[in-house]
Amino acid sequence: MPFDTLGDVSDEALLVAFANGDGVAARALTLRLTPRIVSFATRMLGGDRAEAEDVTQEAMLRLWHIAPEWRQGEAKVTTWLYRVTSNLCVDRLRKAGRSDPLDQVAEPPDPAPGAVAGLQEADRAAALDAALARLPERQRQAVVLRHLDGLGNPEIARIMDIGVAAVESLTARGKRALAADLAGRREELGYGN
Amino acid sequence: MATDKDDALIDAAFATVRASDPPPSDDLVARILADADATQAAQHSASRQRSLGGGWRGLLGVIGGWRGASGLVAASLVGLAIGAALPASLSAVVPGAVAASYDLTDLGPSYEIVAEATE
Repeated sequence: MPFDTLGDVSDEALLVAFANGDGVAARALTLRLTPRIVSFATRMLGGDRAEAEDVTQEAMLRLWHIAPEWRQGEAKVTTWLYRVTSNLCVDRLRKAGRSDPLDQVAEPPDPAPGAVAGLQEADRAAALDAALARLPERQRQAVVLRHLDGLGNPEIARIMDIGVAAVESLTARGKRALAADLAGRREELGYGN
Repeated sequence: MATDKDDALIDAAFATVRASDPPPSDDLVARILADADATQAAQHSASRQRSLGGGWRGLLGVIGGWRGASGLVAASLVGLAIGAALPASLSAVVPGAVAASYDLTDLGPSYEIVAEATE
């Protein structure tokens, strides 16, 4: 996959270039934004990667459509895109009657004694993803945006359309719930030390 | 209340999850780029149509819009019809406007001078 060769150019400038007919800008934006959005959507949808890819495609399509009206300086492309993706995910979860995907998330595999220390990274990540998916929807969204996507609280507040204090509360409660969920499995997951 | 040990566990967990994220599939990237191409082509085409239509819209604006254009066309057609069908009746309005016949010199009075010079 080619690298994003326009690393110094902001997302907003690339979007304006796309609207002006620059095909390279579309490729740069796609390579830059898609990995974050598809990962975020996957977690929002409780691990359903295929549905997350559909949501990502839909969110990017909406970005292409909005490009001619985009005004630089008014908003960040990433904020807009996370917000659209989040809304699409919530819509899908509600339509499917699983706004809380708790029931759909498989329990992490119960490893055999002795095999515990040998858990592969992928298994460990799957266990942690499952713990994330067990969080209530809003807590999960806030925790993922804050601790996996590395966004600041003000940006998360804009994405979730809530106040910064509410974001802080959601992430704190989410972290506590995650810690409680994982605490009993500390040794098993290889975090004993 | 989360302890430092809990925080360390969570931070390690997040690092593991971040590192395990698979990249987007080539198929997804191809689908998104195809959407981008199609959207860009449609937007470019719409923009071209807008700019082509802009010249006519400007002209219409000068002559008062569609109503002005309709009036102008109607007046032109009436004038053309009167001139073609009833040229004799113009004499009643403007005496001498329609001559019985025309000579070449009526159209170019200086023609006689030219004709004499060439004799």
